[in-house]
Amino acid sequence: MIMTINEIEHSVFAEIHNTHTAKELEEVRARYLGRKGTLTSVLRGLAELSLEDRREIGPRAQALRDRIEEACEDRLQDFEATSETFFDVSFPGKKITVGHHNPLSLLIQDTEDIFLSLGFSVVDGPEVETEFNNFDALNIPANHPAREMWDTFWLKRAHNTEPRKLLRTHTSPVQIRYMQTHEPPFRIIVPGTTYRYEATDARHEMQFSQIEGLAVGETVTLANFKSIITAFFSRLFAQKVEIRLRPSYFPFVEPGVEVDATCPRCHKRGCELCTFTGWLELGGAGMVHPHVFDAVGYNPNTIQGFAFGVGAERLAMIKYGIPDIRLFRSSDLRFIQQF
Amino acid sequence: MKFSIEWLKDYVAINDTPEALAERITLHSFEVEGLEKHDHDILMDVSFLPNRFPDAANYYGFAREVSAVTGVPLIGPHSLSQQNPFSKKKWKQTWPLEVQNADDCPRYSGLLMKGVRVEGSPTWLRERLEINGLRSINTVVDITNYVMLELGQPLHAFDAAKVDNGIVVRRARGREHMTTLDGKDVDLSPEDLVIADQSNVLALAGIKGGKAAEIISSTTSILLEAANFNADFVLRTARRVGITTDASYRFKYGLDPNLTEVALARAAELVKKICGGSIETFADAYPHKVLPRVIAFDPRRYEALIGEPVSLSSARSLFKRLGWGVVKAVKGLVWVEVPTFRRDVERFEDVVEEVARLRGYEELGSIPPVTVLLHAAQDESIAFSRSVKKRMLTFGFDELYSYSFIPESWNVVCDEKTLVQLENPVSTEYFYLRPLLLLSLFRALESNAKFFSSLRFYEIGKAFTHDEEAGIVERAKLAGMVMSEEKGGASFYELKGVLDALFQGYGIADVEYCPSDAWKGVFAQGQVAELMVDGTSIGFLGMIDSKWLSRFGVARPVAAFELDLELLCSAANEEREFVPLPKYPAVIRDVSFLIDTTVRIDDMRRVINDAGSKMLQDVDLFDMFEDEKLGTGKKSISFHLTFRSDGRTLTSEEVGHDMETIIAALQKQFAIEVR
Ligand SMILES: [Zn+2]
Repeated sequence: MIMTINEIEHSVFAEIHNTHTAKELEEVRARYLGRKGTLTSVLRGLAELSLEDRREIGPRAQALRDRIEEACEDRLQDFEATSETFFDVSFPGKKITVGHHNPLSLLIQDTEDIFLSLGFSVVDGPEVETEFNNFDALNIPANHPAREMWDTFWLKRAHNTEPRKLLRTHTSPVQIRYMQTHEPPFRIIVPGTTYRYEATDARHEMQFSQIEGLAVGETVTLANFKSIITAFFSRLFAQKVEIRLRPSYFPFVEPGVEVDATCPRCHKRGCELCTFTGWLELGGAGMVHPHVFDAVGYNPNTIQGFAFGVGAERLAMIKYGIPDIRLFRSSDLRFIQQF
Repeated sequence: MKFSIEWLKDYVAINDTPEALAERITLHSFEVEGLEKHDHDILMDVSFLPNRFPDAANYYGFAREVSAVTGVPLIGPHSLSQQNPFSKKKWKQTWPLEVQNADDCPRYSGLLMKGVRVEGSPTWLRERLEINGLRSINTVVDITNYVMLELGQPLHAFDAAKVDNGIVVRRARGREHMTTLDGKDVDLSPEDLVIADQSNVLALAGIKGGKAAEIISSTTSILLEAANFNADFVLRTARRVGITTDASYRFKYGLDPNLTEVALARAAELVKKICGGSIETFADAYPHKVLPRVIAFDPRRYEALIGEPVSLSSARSLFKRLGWGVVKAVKGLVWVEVPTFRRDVERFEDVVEEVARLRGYEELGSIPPVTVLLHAAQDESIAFSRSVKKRMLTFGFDELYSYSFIPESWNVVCDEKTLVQLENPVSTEYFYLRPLLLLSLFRALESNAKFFSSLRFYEIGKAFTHDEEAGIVERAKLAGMVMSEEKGGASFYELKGVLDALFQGYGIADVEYCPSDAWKGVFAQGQVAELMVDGTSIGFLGMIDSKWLSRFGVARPVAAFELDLELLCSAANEEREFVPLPKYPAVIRDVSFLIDTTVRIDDMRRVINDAGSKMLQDVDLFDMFEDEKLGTGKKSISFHLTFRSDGRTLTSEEVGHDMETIIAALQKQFAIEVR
């Protein structure tokens, strides 16, 4: 007898647990507690036992019956819960509309943050400029052949007596505006929209963004520039970047240099991006020409500084692997939503 | 310009491989664009910037640069290094020369040669011209071109027999004209500088020769011209008549006047060798001789500018390589004499560049600045637009960058006088500057509407208008657009909700949406609000006119807004202050009524707020509908009214009393029927 109760106890709970439907559960229950159920027959047979056995087995059989009832109840609740709210964790989440920054903004904001941390202020300026600020004050007089380096959009005047205005061809005129209203020492960068009158292709735009930099004081040197620009590109491309300066010419700086950086994609080994040279041409720079200081009323004998300019689109194209400069202003949301 | 390595060897020994030389030139002088094979030769393509074009964009000048960079001395024809080969001699003047204005033409040199045979050129000469894209004509003309490639000085040859009694350099007279060598008829103006004889115009100065004194096979006496013309004339005339030649291109950058004589000597040497003949006479008009500049070089100032020292002796050895003499040396300073072919070197900083680049910038250290600590900040305009961009992102808007230009045909959107027009537009598609930023967003709408069923995007950018008094006005703007799948004004209210959240974020409380008829044709009539803050208009929100939308093939309803970013920024107040949480519970009562459809929600709200309840905290519209059953011209309106006191829990009698006051005020103002 005892063996039988032990056997029941041993098997019944596992059987209940292994059921998957209410019907299966009912079958298990009937097998033990039904009219001909195993446990029922044990209970029925109690009367035929001796008083001693009855005292020992009776309460155990009763307790086991209660526990089986309880386990069936619990199991049944499991089935009801899953069938009412079948829970599929693989079901897609609810779509939340999120906006996207244009990659150009991401690049410019990164640049601002890096230069802010290097002690450069971020300065704004107008897109419609005077001929003086855009050219003359930057040591590019009218009829100078160097003017042809900047193809210009000119604006119509209401009267011929008005001074000629143009869409700035670089952010450099903000140098002039800033120096006219501030005293050195200072360090600034100027992000902004610029314009060139030229045919567009994968590498040229008539409207694009430039980031200009200017550091002026009594002891600012070209070697300082090399240090600042190395820090900037290394942080922008999140890797150690080497800088190479080459002679170049921009009328508002002397000496003037071209700034090359080691290709962040191939680490100087050579790839398609750097046309297998290991180097990327990333901007122009130099020591501010004394004529520029003259134009803003600084004393070029005591004041010196470096200036540089980089193209925001060009940097974004390298950083994000964008193949065509026209994508930035294409308004194609399939492009913007990638960022 | 492309340089044949083999030809360069006439002037300087080249010990480097072409690749190694290209690398050295790139790092120390000019950008080498590439190397290309040409038979047994290599051509090096070098790009020159305007400052070095005059002295270096020619074989001898480039060889001089190679010599400075490599330290290998110049060799090459003795005639190229002579100073003043002709002007020292006394010549019997056999032909008159008159330069009417030395400003127009600082120097004019002419050499008369006789007994010359004009034939086809020898192979070596033809080949060298071809490398540089010049066609062989005849011996004399080819020699003039060859010397131009070699020295950078354009030359011209006239048939001396056809020149009527000497040369005059003068402005053209009215109604004068000439026929160029290639048969083009050119009408001249007094702005043009010409070379003439007593009866004809022989050449357009610095640009092109004429038919009148053309060299032909029967020519035996030639007049070789090497002149220095004012670059402004050459540039202006070349542009006006639409002729650009190798000569005009070179004059444009400004040449050394001392070069004319050397070039004539070299040409004469080649003519004698190839065509025979002899020099008859030389004439020269050069009233103001250009002398070399003498510039002081101080190594301490060099170090102050570049950041690393240079010894005086190494600077002096670099000057020597450049062919510059030292005329004086005192106490650690030297005075260098810069030859006149380097007219770009004007001052100390230019000399610094020569020393720095020849030493090599790759040697320059990277030295962090030692400087005063400065407070680095962003201009408010930049910081604010970054903050707006962040908010627009959370509202689910994609950020655009568009062009500032709008098509010519869009001048219907406003009075044309207020539009800023380009003097030189690239096309009629990009004709005016946009007077409204949101105009630029229609191109985005057009191109994206086919891929998306609903759209949300924005841009921060400039808009430009022309004002009679202020001139061109440039303002920073924020503009955005919503295209909705829902019909009717849903997109308007969606956008209005976005703006409300934006204003709330900037602590701008009282924005009034006033009916407006601004930008008719772009916005739909009667569906535009002008946004007013403290009596100042900060922008517009409206539904886009369906006819305007049809230009872009868009059928779904579109709403758009534009705000002036500076005005928004000055209205913004992002300061936050804690307000104690309510201690006593609020009582919310609903009121529903029928009212004429033409009554504005804002007006009802104002009446409710002004009715006199001190406990009223909030008025919230939660339902509005129109239905046939309500009767025509009527709509059903329901508000939640929230009452609360900071001092006690309100009783239902108190709230009931205030409700009655509010309903009475509404009834007094409008014909309403409480439901
Ligand atoms: Zn690479």
